This record gives sequence, C-alpha cells and structure tokens, in this order.
Amino acid sequence: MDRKSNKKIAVYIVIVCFMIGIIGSGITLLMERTDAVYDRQQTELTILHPELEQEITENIQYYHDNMKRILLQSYIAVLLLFLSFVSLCLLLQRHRQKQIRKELSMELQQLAEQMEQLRNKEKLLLPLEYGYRSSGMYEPELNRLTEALFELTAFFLAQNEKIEAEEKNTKALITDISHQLKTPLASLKLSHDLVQEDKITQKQRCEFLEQEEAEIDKLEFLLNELMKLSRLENHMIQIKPVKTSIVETITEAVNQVIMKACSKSITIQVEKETDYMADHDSKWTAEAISNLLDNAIKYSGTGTTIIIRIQKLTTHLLLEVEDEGIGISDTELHKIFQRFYRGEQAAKLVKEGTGIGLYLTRRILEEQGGTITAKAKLKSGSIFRITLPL
Amino acid sequence: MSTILKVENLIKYYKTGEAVVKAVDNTNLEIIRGEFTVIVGRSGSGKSTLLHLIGGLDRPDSGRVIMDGQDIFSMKEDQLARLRRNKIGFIFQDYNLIPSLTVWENVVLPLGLDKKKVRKDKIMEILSKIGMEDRKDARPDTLSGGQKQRTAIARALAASPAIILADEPTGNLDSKTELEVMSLLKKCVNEFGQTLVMITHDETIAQMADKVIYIEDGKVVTVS
Repeated sequence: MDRKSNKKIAVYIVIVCFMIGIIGSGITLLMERTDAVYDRQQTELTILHPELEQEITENIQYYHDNMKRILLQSYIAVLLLFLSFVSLCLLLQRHRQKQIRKELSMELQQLAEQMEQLRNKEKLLLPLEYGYRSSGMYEPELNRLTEALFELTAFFLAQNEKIEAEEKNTKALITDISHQLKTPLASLKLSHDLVQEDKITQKQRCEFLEQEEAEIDKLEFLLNELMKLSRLENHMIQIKPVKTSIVETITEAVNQVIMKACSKSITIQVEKETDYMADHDSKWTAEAISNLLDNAIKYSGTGTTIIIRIQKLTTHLLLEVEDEGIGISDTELHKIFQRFYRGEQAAKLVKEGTGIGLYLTRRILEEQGGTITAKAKLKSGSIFRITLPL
Repeated sequence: MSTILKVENLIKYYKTGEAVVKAVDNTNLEIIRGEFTVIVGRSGSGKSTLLHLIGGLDRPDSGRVIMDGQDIFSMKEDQLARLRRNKIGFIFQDYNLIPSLTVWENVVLPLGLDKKKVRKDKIMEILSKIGMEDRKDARPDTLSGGQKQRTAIARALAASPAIILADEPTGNLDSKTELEVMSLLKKCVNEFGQTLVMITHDETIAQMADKVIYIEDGKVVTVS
C-alpha cells in the first residue's frame, strides 16, 4: 500500500466518523423531541383524566420504550449500511490498485526487455505501434521513460554506425595513401637504379640525381599532405570553432600564398564592408582558404586577379573566392571535392598535385558546420563559395 | 552503416489520355542512415513522384518502400499517417506554411496533431539555431522567401524525425539564400544525426551531398 492509498483510507475514516457523528446527533435530537412530546401528552392526559393516572403513565412508558428501541435499531441499521458501503469502496479501490500495479509491472518488464535488446544491438522490436501509449496512473512518467529509451537507442545505434563508418573510412584511407605513394616511389627507384649504372655519362648522372631530388621533394610534400589528411580524418586534429575575426583569418591565408602570387604577378583583392566575427577555427580555416588561393594561383595566368568577398547572411557568413583561371567543367563540378580526384584539365596543366587540397578544405569547413561549393563562371575562371556559421 | 530506407522495384504510372507516363519505373535505391543523399533529375524525370512515394504521401502501383525494416505500404492508413508524423519531416519548394498562423504556431502544428507535449525550450533552440527566434510571432506573409523556408525547416525538425525529405527546398530562392538555407539544413541535420534526402536539379547542391543519385525517365541512371 503506498502513501496515496493510505491517505485515501484516512480520508474515508474521517468521513465515516463525521457521518456517524451527524447521524448520532440527529437521532439524539429526535429522541429529545419525542421525549418532550410524550411528557406533554402525559401531563395533558393526566389533567383531563386524573383518575386514570396510573394507566396513562404505564401506556406512555410503553410507547416511549418502543419508540426508543425502534430509533436505536434504525440507527444501527443506517450505521451498518454506511460502513458496508465504505468498505465496498475500499475494496474496489484495492482491486483497481492491484490492476494498475499489474499493468505497471508488465510495462516495466517490457522496458527491461527492450533494454536487453538494446544491449544485444538489436533494433527495438516491441512497440512497433507508433504513438505508443501506456494506461494507468503512471502514464506521463512511463511515457517519458519509453521516450528516453528510444532516444538512447537511436543514439546508441548512431554511435555504433559512426564507429563502423570510421573503421571503413580508415581502411579506405590506407589503401588510397599507399596507392598515392607508389607512383613517386617507383620513379624514384627507377632513377636510383639508373644512377648506379656504369655506362652512363657524368652529365646523365647529374640529370638523374636532379630528378631523384625532385622526386624526393614531391614525396615529402605528398607525405605532409597525407599526414594532415589522415590526422584530420581520424580526429587527431581538434578543430575548435571560436568567435574570431574573419578578416584576420583571411589575412593569414593570403600571407601564406602571397609570394607565389607575386611571382606570377597575380593580384589578390579583398572586398569587404566591415569585419565579422564568425564561429571558426582560425588556424585551420586559414589553411582551407589558402588551399583555395593556392589552387587559384596555380591554375590562373600571369597578371590576373583573385577576388575574395565577405558577405553576411542571416545565420551564416558567405566568403567568395573568384579567380580568372582555367575554370571547372560542369561534369567535374561535384567530383572535385572527392578524395584524390584531379580535374582532367588541371592534371594536364600542372603536373604536381595530389588531389588532397580541395578534399581537405571541404573536410575542414564541414567539420565546423560550414559548406563549400564551386561554380564555373560564364567566361573563364571559377567561384568557390564558403559558408561559415556566425 | 545501416540502411534507413530501401526502395524495391517501385513502379508508378500515370495515364494522361492515351499516353502512359512512367513517373517511377522499377526504381531501386538505398538510403544510408545519417547520410545526405541528393536525387538529381530534370523536371519531369519523376523525382518528385519518387519522393512522395518514399514519404508515403502517395501509393505506388507496385513495389515496396521499407523504412526501418517496415514496409510502409502494408500499413493501415492511420498507422502510415502516424509514421509520417513521427519519423519523416517534409520540406517543400513552396514552403506550405499556413498563412493565418504565426511562425511559432506553424512550427508546433504537427506536434499538436499528435497530441504531443510541446517542449518550449526545444522549439526555442531550433528557432534560435535557424535565426528566427525574434520573428516567432510574425505571420508568413510578412516573411521573405528565405525566412519562410527556414520556418519550414524548423517545422520539419520540431518532431525530431529520423529522416527529412526535401523537395527542391531552394527552388524559389536566390543563390545566396539558397546557400544559407542549405548550410543551415546541413548543420542541423548533422547536429541531430538525421538523414536528409533532397530532390534538386541544381548541381551546386549536389556538391554538398554525400551521395548523388541521378534519375532520368523514372529510372536511376547513376549513383556517385
């Protein structure tokens, strides 16, 4: 019996006492009244017939006693009736409570079963019925519990999938990296073998050695890029977005590529009205933007201009990087952000290049809730658009 | 990686006079949980019909749509309606906001249909995330296109559905608002771990997707 039903019983007892009191006092009042009436009748009759005094007294006494007995009997009857009514109510209450408890235990058991399923990594099977509702007095609490369990399951499943996806991704990454390293390594090996030949001239040897050096440089660059990529993919690099000035980040990015731009006499213009504070990781966002600028410089002719625009949207900041380079063909637009993809024209124009830059840029931006898209311009060149949350 | 949604041999033909339009012609596809999938096709390629079928808004001639292991067309109409309200969020090109209700009322409307308790703090969180918290008492006709679509996004997110189906959500927006709406949608979906399926004919949006499905004449042509 819980506190709620104890309280109810106490209330019943109080009501019973109250009713007994009322009925009791009512009956006493009635008795007093009849006593008074009988007394008056006796006195009146005695005055009218003084000779019959003895008889009258006896008669009245008889009626009086009779009346008293009847009143007492009816009092007890009413009391009994009332008591039985109250106990019936109590019994019914008890029964209902038992039912509720039974339902509750069934529902709790169901929840326990669901939790077991959850542990066994099964999907929740039981309440397929949508908008599942429990009955009984614990409805809101139980519903909350069920809802929480469902949320927990969803979370658990999502985590599980994330782990699996990451594992798969790591495997793919390892395959991709070894594939990328194979080509430069093979050509390095070839020139190394050639240098060791006796028949070649000193001049040829120098050429091969130079080539070797170039290959080693390329390998080093590739390795650096791959390191960054794999560390980012495996969350070894923590990208922590904080509210910082976007102009500072852009300046940092421009500084990283300004020497390359100068050597091709390319101007980098920053169009801005004011500075904005955006939620981003300054160091890594600068890396992402400088990747874009690096590409823009690589694939643009001498004397061209690169424009960076900053605009505020309601919830995001929009950065545009526009160049006058070779542009991107429509069929390649959605492929350029894939890992190790190199545009056909781009590969022809610039030999070195790993297909990591744009992928890295996308990863960095998406990691902090931003996006990047590319668009070809009508004449020549391309526009990259970055959004960052404000 | 688990499949949240599977489409098996789905067929839907329309008859217009003598000609039969094969809107969805024996289509098979899978949507992975947590991924952002874009379905690209020219207008008239049957992509909207496909999305309506996936979302249980329309019934196919034959074929199955299996969501979380359940064949949705084997359900009774009211069960299907409940599944739609609990598991699927819809976003449409023309927003489908109710003009006589405020932004707040529009957002909590689907919750009311299910007699769910409205968790005010959660709705406020969504509204502030999409930058509409100070316009929550405005009526749709006073909002710009971007604001209307952001309201529709909030409405789709309010019931925290597992999957969000969007039918050209940026079709009526200029390119900058489009970028903003897309960024928001992507960000929210990532944060709440939801699956997003979007129909578009815009290659720019396809660049943001994890998976692109091309559709032509009711058939899946390529997946990349």
